Parts: sequence; structure tokens; C-alpha cells
Amino acid sequence: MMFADKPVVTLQNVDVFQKDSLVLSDVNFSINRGEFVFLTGRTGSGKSSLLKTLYADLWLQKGHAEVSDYVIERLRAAEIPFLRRKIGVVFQDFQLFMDRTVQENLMWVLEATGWTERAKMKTRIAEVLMQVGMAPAIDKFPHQLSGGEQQRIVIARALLNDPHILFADEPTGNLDPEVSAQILKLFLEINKSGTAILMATHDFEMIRQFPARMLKCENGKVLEIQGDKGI
Amino acid sequence: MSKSKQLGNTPNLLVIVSLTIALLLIGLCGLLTLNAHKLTELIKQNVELQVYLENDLSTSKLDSVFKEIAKQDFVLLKEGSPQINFISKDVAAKKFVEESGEDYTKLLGKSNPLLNLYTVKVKPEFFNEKSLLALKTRVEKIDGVHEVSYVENFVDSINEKISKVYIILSAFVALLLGIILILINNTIKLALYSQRFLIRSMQLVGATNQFIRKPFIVKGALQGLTGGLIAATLLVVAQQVALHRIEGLAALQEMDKLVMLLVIIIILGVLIGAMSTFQSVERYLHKSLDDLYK
Repeated sequence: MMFADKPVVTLQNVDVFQKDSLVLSDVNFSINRGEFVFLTGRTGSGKSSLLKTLYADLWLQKGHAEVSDYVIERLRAAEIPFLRRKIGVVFQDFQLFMDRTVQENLMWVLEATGWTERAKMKTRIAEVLMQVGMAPAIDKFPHQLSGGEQQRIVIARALLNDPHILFADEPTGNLDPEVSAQILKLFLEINKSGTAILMATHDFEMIRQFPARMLKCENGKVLEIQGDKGI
Repeated sequence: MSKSKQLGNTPNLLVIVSLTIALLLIGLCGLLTLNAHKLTELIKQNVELQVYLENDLSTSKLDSVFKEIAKQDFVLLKEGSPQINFISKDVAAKKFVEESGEDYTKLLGKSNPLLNLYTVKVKPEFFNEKSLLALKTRVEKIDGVHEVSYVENFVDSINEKISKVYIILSAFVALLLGIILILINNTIKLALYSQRFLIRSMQLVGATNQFIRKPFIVKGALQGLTGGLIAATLLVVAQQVALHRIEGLAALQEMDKLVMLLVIIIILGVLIGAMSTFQSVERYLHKSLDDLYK
């Protein structure tokens, strides 16, 4: 059980490697429950690698990291799926199954993460679709939805297991500005209901519109940025 | 487009065709081995002692020698009657002239140097050098028998040749199996390449590897089953065609062994299909995202 005051994410002296090359060194920060944090920086500055380290896609080689009560440097391969059920991951390459409806997509995830009761599963799917404003699309196929709508479904999928934190890597990467703003509003709403969010983006216009805590990857370090200075 | 995104979807036709060809070739080798095995058994059953008789025996004497031999325990019985044939020296002479093309009568005049003989079929259990030698001395003691002979070292030479054939055949099958496993592995690997991001997505929502593997392996096993069934059908067809074309082949057929071979082919198909898929999925399960883009 999580204590209310314990951070969801803690990093101490973490070095982030991409293959054998050091991308970020001596990273220290923590994210509290219900916090909203932007992670910015140029392309290639190590944002994605940092996120991957946090959801155990890249091995943590040096330092201490704790995500949702899992100690990342001591994580065994068999535990990785269970860590990922406590967090939500949203990013561009993250695909929906094109051969099945929205409901079947979400149902698959619930089955994969150990749900068994049909009625509860259906209720949960209805809940998350309501949360992302896509309830009417339940029986549609992904190709019948627009890019923004698909992204909402992906977000709904990430919310299914009621995660403590969402990791979003350029979630609005290939959406037009208007749709991007809507998606960001959705993230803010999810955040209001208590889920912490760490969002990597290089869309500074968006950050200006929705000010929040900001971390910046620059020259191999992660810096805490106050206000909108240094953008 | 949407089809390649189907879960566990691999190009059915490609995988099934290569599996079918592989299994068919292995099956044909198996069929060949079965027939060769049966053939040696038949050859062994046809081993004969040649009992040469003294010249100028009376008909009653010939008859008593026949009865004496027929009493022996080594004589092969067919439907209760001993398998003993009488070949008169005239018949033997004609046969000799036919086979050798040399008319010795021109050299020797009317006199026939050949002897009357009984050919005696021997039970398979006496078919080894030692027993045959014992039989030879036993039969030679019978009054009226001039000499007994059999083809010496015949047994050993058959056994040697057959085991050579087996070694070559099994080496061929092993080589084939190796090539085929690589081929099928490649086919399945390519097929799964289009699904690598899907596999990725499943991992990121927190599905265990076991859960992700299952649909792929079920599919692979089904493809193997299909390939196996087609190969088995083709084998039966090939065997029937061979039966009609090759005379005497029918004598070599054993239904129970053929059925066993077909069952093995089908099981082999399922195993190869499932295991190759397992291996290929495993490869993608342990790849990092960056490697997926390569």
C-alpha cells in the first residue's frame, strides 16, 4: 500500500544509458502523488531514454530509482509486467489492435493484466471511455477513428488499471495544435482526479499555455526550471 | 494493412507450404526406409539350402530323401506343407544355358555334369552363418545326399549393405531437417517482423511474456498440423501411385507401420510449427525498442 506522502517516482544519482553511451548523468528528482510534470528538452537530449528507464525498458545501470514502490535497479525481468500495471504508458509507437473494436482492445488489456470477471471488466471499460470522452466509440474499429480519437483510446487503455502515474512520451507528436490542446486538457483532467503525470514534450507553446512544474534535459543533466524562464 | 496487424497473424500459405514440403521429404525417406526394411525381411525368408543328390537315384529313393528332409525342424512351412522344390538336372542344365548363354553341350557332348537337387527354404530364425553350417552337416548325413550348399557370407553382406543404406538415409533426413528448420524459422521470423510493435505494445500494458506468446504458438501449432495433414495425404497418394507403377511393391506394404509413419509426420509438423514460433516470438520479446526500428 502506498503512503499518501510517499513520492510516486524517486530518482537518486541516476545515470541513464542508451546502449553503452551515457545520455544523462546524476539525475535527482521525485514526483509526488497527483503531480503534473513536463519533461522538456531537444530531440535526442535523453527525455525518452529517461522515461524508458522509469518503465524498465532500459536497464538502470547506476543509481537508485523507485517507481510506484518497485525498486528499479533490483527489478527482475519477471516483475516488469507487474510494474507496468501500476503505471500507464502513452507514446506514439504504442499501437492499438487494428483488427478489433475499441471494446475488444481494452478487453484484451484487462485479460492480459489478470482481470477475470466479465461484468467488472465491462464496467471498467465504460468508466475509462467516459473519462476520455469516447464512450460512443466503444464498438468502433480504430481505423474508423481520427488520430486524436485514437490517442484518447490509447490514454483510456493506460488508465484501465488505475495507475499511480502516467508516462507520456510526445503524446501529441503527430496531432494538429487544436487537437493537441484538447488532448493536453484531457491529461490535466486525469491529473485532477489524482493520477500523477510525467509528460515528455518539446512543444513549448503548449507548456506556455498550461504552466506546470518543468524538468529540462540539457547537456547530459536534468534541471528543475522555475516559471517559464529558460524555455 | 489491417490484416498484418492481426494478433498472431503470420502468412499462412508461406509457412504451411514450406512445412508441407519439409514433412513430405522426411516422410518419403521414412517410406523408403520402411520398404527397405520389409525387403530385407523378405530376402531373409527366401534363403534356400541347395541339397545336391547322388546321381541315378531311383524315384522311390528320391521320395525317401524328400521325406527325410521334410521331417527336419528348420524347413519353412507354408500352409502346412514344407517348402521343398525338386529341380532335375535337365531343368538345371537348361536354366544354366539360358542364364550363362554358353551351350556346354557343344563341349561335353550329351553328358550332363549337373546333379538333381532339392531347394529347401529355411525358417528365418536359422538365418545366420552358424546355424546354416550346422544344418549343412546334418543334411549331408542323409543317405543319397551328395552335397549341401548355401551362399556363404550372404547374410553378413546383406546386413552390412542395409545398415549402410540406413546411415545414408538418416544422414539425409538429419540434413533435411536442419535446412528445413532454418527455412521455417526464417519464414516465421519475417512474418513476426510486421508484428514487432504490437508485441511491444502488449509488453508495455503489462502483459506477461507467457500471455503474449500464447496466440502465436497456438497459430504456429495449427499451421504445423495443417502442413502435417497435407504432407500425410500426399504421402498416401505417392504410395498408391508407386504401388500401381512398380510391380511387386505391394508385397512390401505394412499398413500399421505406414499409419505410424503418418502419425509421426503430423506430430513432427505440430512440434516444428510451435517451437519455431516460440523461438521467433522470444527474439522479439527480448529486443529493446530501438532494435525494433532496424
